[in-house]
Amino acid sequence: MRTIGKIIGYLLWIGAGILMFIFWLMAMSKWLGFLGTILAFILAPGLVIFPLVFWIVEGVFPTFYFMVWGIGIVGLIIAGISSKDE
Amino acid sequence: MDEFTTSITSEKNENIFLARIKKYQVITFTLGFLFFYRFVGTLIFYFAGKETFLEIYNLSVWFFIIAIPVVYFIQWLIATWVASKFTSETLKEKFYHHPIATIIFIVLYLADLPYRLSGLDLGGGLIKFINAFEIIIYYAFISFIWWLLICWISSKIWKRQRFQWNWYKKTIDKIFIIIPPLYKFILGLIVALLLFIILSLLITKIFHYSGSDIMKLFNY
Repeated sequence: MRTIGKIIGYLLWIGAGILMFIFWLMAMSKWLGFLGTILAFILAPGLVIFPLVFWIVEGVFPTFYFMVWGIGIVGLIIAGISSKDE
Repeated sequence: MDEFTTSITSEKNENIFLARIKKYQVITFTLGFLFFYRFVGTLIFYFAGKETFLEIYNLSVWFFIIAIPVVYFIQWLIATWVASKFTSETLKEKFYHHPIATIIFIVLYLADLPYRLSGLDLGGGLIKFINAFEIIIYYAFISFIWWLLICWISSKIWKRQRFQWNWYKKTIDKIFIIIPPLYKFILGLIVALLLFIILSLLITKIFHYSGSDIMKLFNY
């Protein structure tokens, strides 16, 4: 049960992380082209800076980014609870 | 006095169930998840006005509300009872002692499984994945029960073990190492995907998310 809990938690966390990275990568490549794609791999989006920049540049609040981030945190909580029992 | 006896009996029963839940956590989690998926999923579809098996078989929703928990509870009782009869080591010994029956049952299971899966309407997307998982589990459990019966009959006929192959023993050892973490990973993956979808739908409904940021990003 603890193992399954950890698997569920980490999969949610990793899955959310991948989706957040794809969002960041797509935005960077849209704004800066090939250079943006390379920079997306080098730079980190930052906790608030990237969503703020996205909001200013695109004129739309990046709800998807925060939504997936929230799911990732839920995953981390599940993994943490499962690890605590040991 | 009667009250005292009843309270002791109920406490004992509760402890038995709790002990079983604690001892067979993977079985409990599997059946608990499948029950949740079947029960809640069908109720949501029913109240959303979509076609479920209740309409197909002309069943009452009350029959479903009572029958499904009872059926899953009985399944849990059977599964934990069977599991209580073996430890990992005794089960491995049983596999070692009956190589012919094991090979025949594995081949039959693997050969028949695609037909079992193709014969049913599994739906689409993650639902298809969960339905296929449920069928694979049930069919494996039923095959396991048949295998136990055959092993018992063969042990009555042949008192001594006739075949002993080294490669077979090694394969069984490897299967016993690979299957538990693989099963936990697949179950965890299914639950994680379902949880991801449920959480996404909840957040979308609560915050009235329209997907405008994604559409803007992909230039729709």
